[in-house]
Amino acid sequence: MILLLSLEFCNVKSVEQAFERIGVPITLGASARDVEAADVVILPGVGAYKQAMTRLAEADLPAALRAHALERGRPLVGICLGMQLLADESVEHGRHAGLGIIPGTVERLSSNGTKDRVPNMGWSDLDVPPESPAYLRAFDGEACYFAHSYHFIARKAADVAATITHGNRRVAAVIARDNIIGMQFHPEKSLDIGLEILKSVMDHVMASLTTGRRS
Amino acid sequence: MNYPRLIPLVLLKQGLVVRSAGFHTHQVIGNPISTIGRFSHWNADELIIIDISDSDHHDLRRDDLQQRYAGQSVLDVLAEITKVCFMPLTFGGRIVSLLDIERRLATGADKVSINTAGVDDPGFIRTAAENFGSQAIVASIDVLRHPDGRPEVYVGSGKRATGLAPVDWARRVEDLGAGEILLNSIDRDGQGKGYDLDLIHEITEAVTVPVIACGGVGRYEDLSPGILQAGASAVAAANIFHFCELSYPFAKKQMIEDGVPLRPVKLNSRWFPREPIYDQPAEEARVNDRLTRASERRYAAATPGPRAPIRWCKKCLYPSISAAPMEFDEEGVCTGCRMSVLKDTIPPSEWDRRKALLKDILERNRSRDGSRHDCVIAVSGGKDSWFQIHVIKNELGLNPLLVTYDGNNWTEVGFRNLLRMKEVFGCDHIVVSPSTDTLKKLNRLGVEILGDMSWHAHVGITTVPVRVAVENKIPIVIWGEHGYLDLCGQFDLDDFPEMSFRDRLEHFARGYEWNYFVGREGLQERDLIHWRYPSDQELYDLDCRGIYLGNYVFWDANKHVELIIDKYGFELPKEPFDRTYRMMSNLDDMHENGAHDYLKFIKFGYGRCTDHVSKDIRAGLMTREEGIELIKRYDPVKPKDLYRWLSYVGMDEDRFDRIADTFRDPRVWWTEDGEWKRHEIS
Repeated sequence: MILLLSLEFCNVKSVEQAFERIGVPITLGASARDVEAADVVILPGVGAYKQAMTRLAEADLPAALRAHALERGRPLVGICLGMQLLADESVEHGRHAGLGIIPGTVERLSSNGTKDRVPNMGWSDLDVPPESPAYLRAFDGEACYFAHSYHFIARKAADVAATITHGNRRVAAVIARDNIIGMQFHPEKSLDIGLEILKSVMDHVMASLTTGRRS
Repeated sequence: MNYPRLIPLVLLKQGLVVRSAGFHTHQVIGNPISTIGRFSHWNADELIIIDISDSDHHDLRRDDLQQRYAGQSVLDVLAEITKVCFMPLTFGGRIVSLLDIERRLATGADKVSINTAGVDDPGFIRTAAENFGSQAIVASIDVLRHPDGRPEVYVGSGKRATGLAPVDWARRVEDLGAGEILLNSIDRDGQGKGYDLDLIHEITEAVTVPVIACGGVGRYEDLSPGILQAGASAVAAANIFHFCELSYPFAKKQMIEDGVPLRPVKLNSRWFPREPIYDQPAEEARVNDRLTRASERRYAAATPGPRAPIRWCKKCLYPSISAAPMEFDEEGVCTGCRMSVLKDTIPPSEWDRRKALLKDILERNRSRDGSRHDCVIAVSGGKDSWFQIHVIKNELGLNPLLVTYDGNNWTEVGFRNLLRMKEVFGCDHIVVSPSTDTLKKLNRLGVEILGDMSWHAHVGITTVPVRVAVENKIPIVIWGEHGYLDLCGQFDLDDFPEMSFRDRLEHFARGYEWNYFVGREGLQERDLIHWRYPSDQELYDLDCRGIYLGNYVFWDANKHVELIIDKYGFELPKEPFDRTYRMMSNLDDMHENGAHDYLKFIKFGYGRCTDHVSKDIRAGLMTREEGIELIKRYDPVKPKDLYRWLSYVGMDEDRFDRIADTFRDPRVWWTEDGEWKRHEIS
């Protein structure tokens, strides 16, 4: 069962429609029990970090999500804010602990003396290095839609699977470690290419699920 | 580094897409679902929708449309839009609370734009940004430039002055946490004179958040300066995207040629096919439910009346509940009459200018080497066809290819007129005749599904000429007059609307694309080839345009008929029609003025005679009183051609009547002692 977390900060309708288009059935839910029952969890999100973490905590979800991804090793896919929530902490309007699933911090973007504006609002080309997972390689050079003022700085460089350039720096576009995948951009709002990526990611996690079960 | 963006802006009013001028005139363009779906097909960078409704109340105007949505609130519309919108969406209008924002984001918007509420309470922008993140909060700033050149921020749909200087307010909203600024010029709205570049430049210099420029685009060439000269991160426009086929990709093409590094044009999407994806089981259930209601004589309109009064235009005789998109002004006069007065005031010099524009379009697109025809003229063999050929062939000297859809419903005279065109004008003529078996099926399905046997004709007529044009690499298709522009003043005269897939699907097909019929009555894909519109990529590669001659040449149907009779021997029928006094219209399809029109009367309580009378009153050919007499005489008549149709397709009259009665509009009809009643025209 693929669970699409549907808390207030999750842009559920858009993500739901995207999954319908690519023909991947999902179930909506918002409780720790739903997470326990899920094979795959999708964590979308728009909004502010602190409020999102508060809502997750109110529903007892942080521990459930950690158990799902880290103990049971099941796939967890974060989108936009949902990707940033995977980090240890964020400095958005103060310091706030994250889910601590992928080591790293979330910091504010800076135009860094360039003409790039903050928030980074619009389409940027993905840079997917050759060593990145196969399910992402095909999307090197494709533009996806970003809308964010903060970005994920991973502690381990190997966790960064794709980047964009903003303010003369490499900014994480995809974070990936085994079956934990986070996308800073909005695949559900990146038209054809976004849905191609979402399909590729889902095909990958579903396949890993079957191999995992067999072994 | 991200790409500059080109953003269509869609205005929603009472659930429908409108065109705006000066922030006060709003004309209905159409249904948001088909409009916004097109932007997904066209791979648009982003979309802005502003809801300018004054209340939560929607009126789709008719019950025979495939595209519909339940509910009356703006969130209901947004939920439907989300199903076809896979690009980033900013949703604005009437947002005053955090709950408003939360609901819009949860229903499919990625950002919301805040305007009046932010000026009234700047703290609202701050709390909004804190709660939803700056990236979700767009400050919408409407600016009026006073005659002395001083710009000022206005709110309340551009009606209330604030005393704020745009630069100060832009800096302030950035400090408050807005992540983007949508900058709109009130005085440029709908004017087509280009952006207020000074204003945009001032703002882009003053803030570090992205700025979207809006207001004033009249030509694709107006877009690039917003980015190249004024430094905007994105350019937006509204009206310009509504009037032409592939407007967005062609606008983008222009901007890329101007040197703006946009994301490339991409068409024929894998995930968003242009032809709607129908929920066939649900549609099946809906159609069956109607047929069951018909057999049990359960009709939505069969409840005691009387209904709320209907308004008729004070000048012509158009009813407020009409099949066409029509608005009434404060004096109770319809947009069609206003348009007709406007059209009469156009001086001859303007028609000269328009004709020069036409010549220019045709000249640029004609065949250089004679390897193809210069243009296609879509012809039914009727009065308009003959006039079109007269202008294109004999006045302008082009070599047109005449193309006709043969719906197998010719009147005798109409058929003679059709066959004589190649002789009279010396033109090549292609007549596309679908199989009679398929036509009969589509006739029957048309009545059962949308209460109209003419779906095949309306869609065939608007598809076949475009198919032939694309097959023969002819980039121009010429149509007659724009029906809605003339009849109900749907567009401004400067819009020059052209034929488009959206128009065809929404108005001519009423949301029912050819693929809707696959699997019904045994129809297969291969049976429906003539109703399949060429792909977006084919149209784009050919740069194919469908222009309406009526936008370039003064259109007076009565005078045209005189001309083609005198000059070319066009033949009028000896027998009058049952449902209208006009002898000269719709000779290509005996049911168009007959059974098809009778169904319109059953649905909406008025028929073609009302259309003809309204046109003739506007033309000064009859008085309103004479018109009323004619309408009372003709509109309710059950025509004789219906019996030809019934035996042609094999349906009995009782079944036809019952199905028709399920389509009666409850706003028009009620029952009294088992009889259908409606308000009579007065």
